[in-house]
Amino acid sequence: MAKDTAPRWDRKMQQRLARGEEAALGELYDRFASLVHGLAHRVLDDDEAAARATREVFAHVWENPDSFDPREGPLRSWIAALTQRVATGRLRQRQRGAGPYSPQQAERIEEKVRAAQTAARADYIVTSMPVSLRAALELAYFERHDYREAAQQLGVTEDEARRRLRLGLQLLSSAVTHPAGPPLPGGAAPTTAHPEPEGLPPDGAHRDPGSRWTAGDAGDARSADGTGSAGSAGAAGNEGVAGSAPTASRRGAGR
Amino acid sequence: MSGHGRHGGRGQHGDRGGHGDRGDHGDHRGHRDHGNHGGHIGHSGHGEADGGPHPVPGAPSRDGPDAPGYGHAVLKSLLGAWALAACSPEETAAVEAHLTDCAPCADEAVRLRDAVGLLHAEDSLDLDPGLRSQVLEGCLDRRPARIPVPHWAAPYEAETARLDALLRDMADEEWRAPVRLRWFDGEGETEREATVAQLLGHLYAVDGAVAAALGLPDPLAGPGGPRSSPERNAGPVDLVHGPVARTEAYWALDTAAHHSAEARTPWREQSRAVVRHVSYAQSDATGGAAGGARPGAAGSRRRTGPSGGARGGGAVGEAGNGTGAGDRSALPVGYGEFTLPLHDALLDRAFECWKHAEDIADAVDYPYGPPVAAHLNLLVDLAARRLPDALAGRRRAGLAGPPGTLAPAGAPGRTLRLEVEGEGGGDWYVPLDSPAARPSPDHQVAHVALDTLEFCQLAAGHVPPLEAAVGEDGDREAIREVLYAVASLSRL
Repeated sequence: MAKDTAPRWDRKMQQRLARGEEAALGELYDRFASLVHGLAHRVLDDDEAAARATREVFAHVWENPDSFDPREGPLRSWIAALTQRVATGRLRQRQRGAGPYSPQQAERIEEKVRAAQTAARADYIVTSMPVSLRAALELAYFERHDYREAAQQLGVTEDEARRRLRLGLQLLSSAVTHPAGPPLPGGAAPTTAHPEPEGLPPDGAHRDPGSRWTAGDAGDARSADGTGSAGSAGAAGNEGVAGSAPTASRRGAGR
Repeated sequence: MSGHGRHGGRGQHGDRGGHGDRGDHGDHRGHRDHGNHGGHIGHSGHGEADGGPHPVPGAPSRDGPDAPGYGHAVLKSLLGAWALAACSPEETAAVEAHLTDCAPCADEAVRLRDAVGLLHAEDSLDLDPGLRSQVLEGCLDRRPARIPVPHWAAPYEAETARLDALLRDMADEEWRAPVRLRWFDGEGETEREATVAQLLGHLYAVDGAVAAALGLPDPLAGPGGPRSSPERNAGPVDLVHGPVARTEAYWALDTAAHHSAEARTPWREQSRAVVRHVSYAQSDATGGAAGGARPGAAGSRRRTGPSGGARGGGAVGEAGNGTGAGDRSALPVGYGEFTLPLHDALLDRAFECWKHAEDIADAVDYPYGPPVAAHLNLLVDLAARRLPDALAGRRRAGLAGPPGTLAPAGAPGRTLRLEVEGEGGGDWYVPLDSPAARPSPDHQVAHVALDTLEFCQLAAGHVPPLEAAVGEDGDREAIREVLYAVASLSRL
């Protein structure tokens, strides 16, 4: 997993793509196709549409490998942000094609966009969280070990295993409730710094997902959190998250 | 997170029972939310051992005299493990009872439970395996590759990627699942048991013959390998010859990695290294243009003609690769008793990868389809081109009757028309008397028709020659010998 975000892998991949190496394109697909297709499907809710968006995203990366800047963050996050722009662009295009849309339709669209953003944030958080936490989550969730077995495999105490699982989930839950910092580095940048992929709607009003994720935009946080975000629940969560939240912000702020 | 796929695809397929678990928890949560405020369960009175910040009386529940008491701090620390269903039943019960009484913990529990839902968000659908070739083709249409994958390496590239996607989703115990390997040993069906991980080791060891021929590290010559002395490891030599010998040598090493998910990485890295290597080698040799025949596109054109004709080898390598000095497509790759030119060896490896991927998919009860038509066509073409030599080999071994006539080399001789129907199929004319004889429709003595996938099953030794679903017409003995020859292409 650590390899997934290794900057060196990202840079090498970028160079190979720039060189026009077809084998690199295959490797790129193998690594990111499920991310891209999953995010696109979340927004577009249709296999064929998600497949088309996937084709567009990979074509954009293949044609413009230099528009990725490794200093802005991992390739994975850049591709996630690109996918969202492509997918939400296609969603809005589809809706416009169907005529003027009602407030309810508009709300449904925004809901899907938000869900995709949450998924992308979650993906980013998982891939950028400390390896120790990721490893614990992996053992407990993907490999179905209980925390005692996880502790044993990790060579830590049971207390520590419990702590890591809780902390890992707390970090992850910030994807839903705490859109603090732009979790997708480059999430906002591509609209200005990089050439647009084809097929994006011309109006800029809807297409900057990055802005929703800035710390200043607390609207989502409140609505997603429901009641009592300032109450005791926040206290319990912050104990764990406080120490690590800056990690996520720091990456984002590098831009 | 590499594990993202593990649940997505698999869970959907429903063979792991895990999702049910997780779903149940969701339901519990619903209940809990309701019970949160009014709810009270009639058990109480256990001590807060830790004096945490939220002294909730009666937090531990169901604590009979046997169960240990859990304090608030401990219960809170268990919330992550609880959300992941990674606690003991007693702890789970204690946490859930606590949540009815402790609002802060209940709130956190909801948030953590929702966070678990995000863990498999990425990959909740199986990707359509055909999407890969569509996406790559779309890319290459918009920007042609400067360093293309040679079209004869494209099936290997695609099949290794497809198998890798299957492996990515496999749980630990599935790597130890038994696989029944079947092939036709010349006279009858043979089989052998291995685990999924061992089977991948088999692919790794035999692919290693190609790697070694290219001058890449040979898995059997590396540290710990049977031939690890440096001087013998120096050259690009296939040190252990033949698929069976290589496999036995590799299995004999018997490290822990042969029995677990660790088997995946070396196999994948080697297959990628091979693809990269031949891509660079061919574009150096051909100036980057001739090798640019797109995988698939080139293959399908080649075979759509009504009578492609088996010419005893070389058809694939000759086309599209130029004759640059550095052209390595004809580099011999050792298979023990025979060699195959590199371009055919990689088609052979693609076929093996596909067929063994099917074995693995069967073992873990997962669906697995055939290669795309253009690749399938190249694989069938290789098998058809190898038939004259296979027939000759069977004659030498006394397993087939003598040739009908002794035609001089290059002269037209008795011919069997092999019609492979369906996606990836085509027509091949197989010389029956000698590999050197020229097949000719005018000398056709028999006609065999069978489905592409049936033909591949036969060539893999998964169908006995006389039980294959075949339409036939003409010389029965010739047909029988050709069907046996197809099956004899199979091996471990």
